[in-house]
Amino acid sequence: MDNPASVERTGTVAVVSLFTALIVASDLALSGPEFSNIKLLDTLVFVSAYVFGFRVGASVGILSETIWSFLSPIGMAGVIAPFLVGGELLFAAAGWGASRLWGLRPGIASRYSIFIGALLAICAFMWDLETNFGTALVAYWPTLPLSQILFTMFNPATLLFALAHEGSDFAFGCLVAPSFIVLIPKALGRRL
Amino acid sequence: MIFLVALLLISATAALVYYGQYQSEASRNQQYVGELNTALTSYSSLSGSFNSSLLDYNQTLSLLALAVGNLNTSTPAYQNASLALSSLWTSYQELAAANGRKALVYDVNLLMDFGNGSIRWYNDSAAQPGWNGYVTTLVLLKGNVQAVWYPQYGEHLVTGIDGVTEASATSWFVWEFEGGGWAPAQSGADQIQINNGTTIAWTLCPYDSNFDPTCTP
Repeated sequence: MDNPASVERTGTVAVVSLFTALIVASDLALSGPEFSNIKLLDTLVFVSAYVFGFRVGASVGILSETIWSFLSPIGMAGVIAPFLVGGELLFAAAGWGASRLWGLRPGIASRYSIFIGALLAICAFMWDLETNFGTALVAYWPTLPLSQILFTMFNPATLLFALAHEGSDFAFGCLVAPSFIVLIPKALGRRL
Repeated sequence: MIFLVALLLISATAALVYYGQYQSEASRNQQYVGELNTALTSYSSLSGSFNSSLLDYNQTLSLLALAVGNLNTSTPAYQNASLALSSLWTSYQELAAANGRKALVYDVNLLMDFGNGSIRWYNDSAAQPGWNGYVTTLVLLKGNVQAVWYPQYGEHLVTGIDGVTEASATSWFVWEFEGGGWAPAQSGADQIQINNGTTIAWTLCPYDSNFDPTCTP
């Protein structure tokens, strides 16, 4: 006889593995210079947390970002990896929180899709700030001059990359996330 | 009759003496030939080892350039490597030339515009295939580049070149020469692929509210 708890755990592992594989594959596909800082990673972490809960979303975010931090073709993240991985928890928390707030399916091209896009863009902005702070900490440890830290965090030259990140997350949040949120439970025969 | 016999004896003796000397010289000659053959074999072996070492040197330089492009810029490892990379690259080219062959390099052009009317060209400079715009700049400027490494973007953000740092209203911008004109690079210097004939420029420029440079090289 199947133990329901073990079946559920197996299902969770399968979901986490599937999302992680999808994220790493999409990261590789979008690793070219023309897609600088445009990724499906954040959107998929958000969606996994929205549909399956914070624990699944956090697991997906931690696993996929850890893999990408060390296997990315553009170079290893190195010491800053914990900041990158920790930042993904923002998206998982946002996805879980949004599912509590908009428990009904958001619907494609509904006003909720704009909210989701905006939420993802805000999380992307906070992720950029947090990782820039991590960059500054690593670059200027142990002296940590405040002016240099602030300059590294808010360097206008990083604007191009930040805008690409936030803009793409907004677009994916509006168009891709609601579709996945609607389709995944249907595919699994579940209701939110 | 006796005179003829005496002449024969003297001739025979002389012939023997000269034959003995000939044998001695022939033997010495054989020895020299043997030594020359050994030297030639050693030279061939040394030449092969030199070529192999040159290949390894080339590969090591390539790995060092890759490492420099991914290290935190405040670490001693980066600072030492970025200063040494230029001289190592120069000595590699000299060694390759001494071996009678030209190193496989790309010819690149680099323009430095310091924004005060002072410009500097590095024309027909050699870059190793596989370098990006940042590493090429670092090598040609002998490591005199101040930058912060943002691993989350895979980019170095240059804050100073040759001791000239950006101010509150100016910033260093990287440009690519394509289609007969200059265009600001859409991504950073790390994403610029260097090929044969690539021309890039660095300018210290003021910028507008969109962070677009207000000058051109």
